[in-house]
Amino acid sequence: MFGTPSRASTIFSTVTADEVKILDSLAEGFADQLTTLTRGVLGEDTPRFHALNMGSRIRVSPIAENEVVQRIPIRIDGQERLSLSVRYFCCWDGSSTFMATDQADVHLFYQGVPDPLLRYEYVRNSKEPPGAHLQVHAHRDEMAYLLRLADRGRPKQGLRRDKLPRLAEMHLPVGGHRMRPALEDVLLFLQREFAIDTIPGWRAVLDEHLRNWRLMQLKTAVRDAPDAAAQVLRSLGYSVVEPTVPAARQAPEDVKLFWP
Amino acid sequence: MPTVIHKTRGELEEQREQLLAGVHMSYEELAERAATYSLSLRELDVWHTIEGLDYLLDGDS
Repeated sequence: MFGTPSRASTIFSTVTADEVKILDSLAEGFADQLTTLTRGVLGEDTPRFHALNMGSRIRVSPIAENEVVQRIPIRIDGQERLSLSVRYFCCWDGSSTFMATDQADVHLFYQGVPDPLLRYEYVRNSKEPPGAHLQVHAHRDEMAYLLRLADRGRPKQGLRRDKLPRLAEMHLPVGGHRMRPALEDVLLFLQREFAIDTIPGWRAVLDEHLRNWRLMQLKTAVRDAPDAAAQVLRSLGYSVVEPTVPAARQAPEDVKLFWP
Repeated sequence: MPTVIHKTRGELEEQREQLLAGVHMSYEELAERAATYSLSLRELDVWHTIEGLDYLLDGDS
């Protein structure tokens, strides 16, 4: 989970009593969802997420008793080796059924070291740099150590084969089959970070291709989850009628939208 | 501690002051050291907390 659906919102300076109730329910639901996720994966002793609210804005993160944000400890072979700092900055426009995520930070730290290894971030209003991005701080040595640390799984296999750990072994997730970055994203990255040579009009060409790519992926995602798409269209006022003879559906485990 | 914690502007501002006092740094010093990753992890957690408080405070300005 790296951000709730984003939508345009207005920041209200005052929130009515009824709105407070809805906001409470949305905030509690989101915080509980994150707690369920992290406890269900990392263990029941994982710190709980709390939503801190003032007005129409909310910060969701695990916090300690003194209300300072708390990193989530992660163990390898039973020993605490890593921690995750997870923060969501959300706002609510008083009418939506979603809170919008203004910013989401998921930072991975090696135990005791304040410079993060990786930063997965989302900034809602950002185009440059891209709203969703990954920043790598890690040095080869740190990652190489982690790549062989566990006494099981891929690290163990690598050790057994006496294979030198390499950064290139890591497969960093980038949004799944339907939301993956495209060639257009890579070209933009090269232009932004390295100022590669481009020809006049490059940006228009790139924007058009990026739009086509994203729309194509959206259509494919709709085919993966037509009921969800119909629900959204109805909420937007469209009339959507279910087919008399439903199209053949893939087995749930084969739907690529839900693959990592 | 409840899952949703409501705070007033005054309470957030007071918490912010206490956090800065706890790390014996001004906001500017903390921000500068955060930008160069030269905070301890405890100080970094405080910095991340203050960023969150500022986000909430900015929404009501």
